[in-house]
Amino acid sequence: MRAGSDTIERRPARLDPYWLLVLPLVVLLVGLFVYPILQVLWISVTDPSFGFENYRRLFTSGSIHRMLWTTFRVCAVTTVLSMLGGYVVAYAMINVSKGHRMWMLLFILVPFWVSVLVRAFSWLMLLHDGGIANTVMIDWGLIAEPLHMVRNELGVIIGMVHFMVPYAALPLYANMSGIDTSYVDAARGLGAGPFESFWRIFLPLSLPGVAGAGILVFILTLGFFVTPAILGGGKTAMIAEYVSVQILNLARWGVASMLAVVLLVAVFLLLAIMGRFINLREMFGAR
Amino acid sequence: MKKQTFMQDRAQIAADDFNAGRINRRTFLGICAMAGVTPYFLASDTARAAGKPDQIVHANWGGDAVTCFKSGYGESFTAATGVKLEVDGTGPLEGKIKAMVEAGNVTWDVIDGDCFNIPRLARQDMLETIDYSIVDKNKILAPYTWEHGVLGYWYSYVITYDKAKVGSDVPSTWADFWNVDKYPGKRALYKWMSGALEGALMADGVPMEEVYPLDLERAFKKIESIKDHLVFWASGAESQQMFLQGEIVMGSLWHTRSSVLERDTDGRVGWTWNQGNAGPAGWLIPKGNPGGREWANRWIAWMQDPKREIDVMDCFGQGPSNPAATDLMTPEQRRLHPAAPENFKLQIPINTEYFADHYDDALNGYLDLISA
Repeated sequence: MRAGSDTIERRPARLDPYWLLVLPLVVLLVGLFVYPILQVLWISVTDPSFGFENYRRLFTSGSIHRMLWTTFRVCAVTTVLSMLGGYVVAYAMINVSKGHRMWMLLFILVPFWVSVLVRAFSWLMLLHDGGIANTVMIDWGLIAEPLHMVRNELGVIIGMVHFMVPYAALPLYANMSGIDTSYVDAARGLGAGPFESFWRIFLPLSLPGVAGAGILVFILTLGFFVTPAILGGGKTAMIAEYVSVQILNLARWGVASMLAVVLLVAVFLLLAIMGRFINLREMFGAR
Repeated sequence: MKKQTFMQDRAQIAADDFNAGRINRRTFLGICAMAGVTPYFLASDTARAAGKPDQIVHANWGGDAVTCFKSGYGESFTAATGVKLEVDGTGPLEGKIKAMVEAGNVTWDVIDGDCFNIPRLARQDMLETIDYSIVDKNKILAPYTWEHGVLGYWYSYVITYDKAKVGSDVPSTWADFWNVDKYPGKRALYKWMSGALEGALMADGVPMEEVYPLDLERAFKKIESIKDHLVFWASGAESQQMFLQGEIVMGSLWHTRSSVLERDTDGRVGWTWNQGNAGPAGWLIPKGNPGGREWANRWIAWMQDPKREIDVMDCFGQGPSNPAATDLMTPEQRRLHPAAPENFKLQIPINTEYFADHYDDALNGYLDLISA
C-alpha cells in the first residue's frame, strides 16, 4: 500500500457507507458461492461416513495418484508451451507499429471468443487419423502411416495450448509495455548485440511478468474439462473429468468433493506464491 | 411450479371431500361441472381424478428418443388421460438423481436408466416402488422385474465393422476384434465401459455363459494388450462419426447406431448380434416424483403396449420389453430387435445383479486403465 495524502484524511469510520452499495453483491457471493463451497467441504468429510476416509484415498489410491500426475504433467507442459507462444506474440506486439499491433490483438482475441467446445471439435476434425492433416501429409508422401494427434495426451495439449496462448500473451503484453525500453537502448549503446541486449536486459526485466502470467495460465489449465474430455478421447483423465465421473456416474460425492477441495487448496497456494512475484491487485486491474 | 387455477383447486378439494365421504357423487360432479373440470376416469375410479398431475416428465438421454417418445407414447397417453408428456433429454445420471432426491426437488417422474441402476439406487432409498396392480408383470420379459423398477427396453453393444477396411472375411467374434494382425487399424470401445469388459473376456476365451461374474483383472489385462489400437467413444453420435470419417475399422457400438450406419452407408458398415452384450434399460421412479407414484406407474404401464413399443422401435431403434411384441413384427423389424429369441440367444445380457454390486470398482478400474 502506498503511503500518501489519501490516508491522512481518512477518518476511522466504523463502517464505510460505501459498503452498503456492495452489500447485495456480498450477500449474493456468500449465499451462492461461499456457502456451497463450505457444503462441498462438509460432504468431503461426511460422505459416505464421517471422517477423513476420502482424504486417506489421496494417499492410498493408485488411480488418484495417476490422475493427479497426468493433470500436473499436462498442465505443466501446456503452461510452458503457452508461455513460449505468448511471450513471442507479446514481444512482437510491443515492437511493431501501432497499426500492426491492433491487427495482432484482433487475431489473439477472435479465437479467444470462440466456444471451447467448437474449438475442441475443430481440432478433432482436423487432426484425427483420417482427418485433413493426416490425409494431406500422406498424399504428399511426408508420412506413411497416419500420426495419432488426437484422442490422446498430445491432442489434449494441442487443444489446451491453443486455448491458453491468449491468456499468456495478454498479461505478458501488459507487463512488457511497462518496461522502459531505454534500458535496452542503453545496452545497445554500450555495445551489446540485439540478442545480448534482449537476453541480459529485457528478459530479466520481464521475468516477474512471466512468473505471474505462468502461474495464472497454470491455474486456469487445472480446471479444464471439455478439452481433455473430447481431445483426450478417454485416454487422458484429468481432475475435472475425474470429479465429474465420481459425481455423475458413480454418485461417490465424498471422493469428488475431496478432490474439489484439493484443487481449491492447490489454487490458493499457487495464488499465494504468485502474490510473492507480482502485485496481484495490479494483475487483476484493481489498483 | 404446477400451474393451478382457483377452479381446479376447488374441484380438487371437492374430490378430496368425495374421497373422504364428506360429499356424495352428485355434489362432486356438480362442483366439477361448475369449475369447468372434466373428471377423467370418472366411470371407474372417480376419486383418482384428485391425484392426477398436469403432466408426466420422462427423463431420458436425448436425441431422437425425445421426439419418438412424444409421438410413439406421449400423444396417445395425453389423448386417453389428459395428462401431458414432457420429455427431458438431459441424461438422468445416477448423481443427478441423487442430487434431486436429496434436495427434495425432484422434477422427473420416470427415468430411463440401466437396469443395474435399480438396485443401486434402491439401496440408497432413492426410488419409489413399482405398483404391480398397474404395471403388468406378464408384459415384461422375465426375470426383468424388481421391486423398484422394471425393464423398459433393450439395446445392445454389438461388433460393428467397416467392410471397406476389413475385407470380405468380416470379424464376427471378440477374438477377431482383438486380432490386430488380421485386422489392423483402430477399434472403438465405449468410454463408459459397458460391453467392453465382457468382450475382452470372450476374446480371452471365456465361454459366453461364464462371463459373469466378471474376472476384472483378466479383462483389464486383455484390454491393455491392444490399448494402442483402441479409441473410445462417449456418445452414440461420436461412434457413428468415427465410422463415417473412416477413423476406425471396427467398434463395439449400440445396435441402434450400427443399423443406422448400415443403412446410411449402403452396407459398407456391417454388424453382428454374435457375442453382443444386450443391455436391459429400465424404468425407474425417483422418490418424491412430482406426478405421484400412481401416475408414474400408469405411464410405465402405457409404455408396455406392444404396438406402441414397435412404433417407438421404428422411430429410433430400441427393442420392446414386451415379449408379445416379437410376434407382431415384420421379419425386418425382428432382425433389428435385440430380444427377438433368434437374436437374443447369440448375445449375453448385461448382468444387473453383478453390476449392482461391482459397477463402481469396474468403472473406476476401466477408466483408470484406459487413461493411464
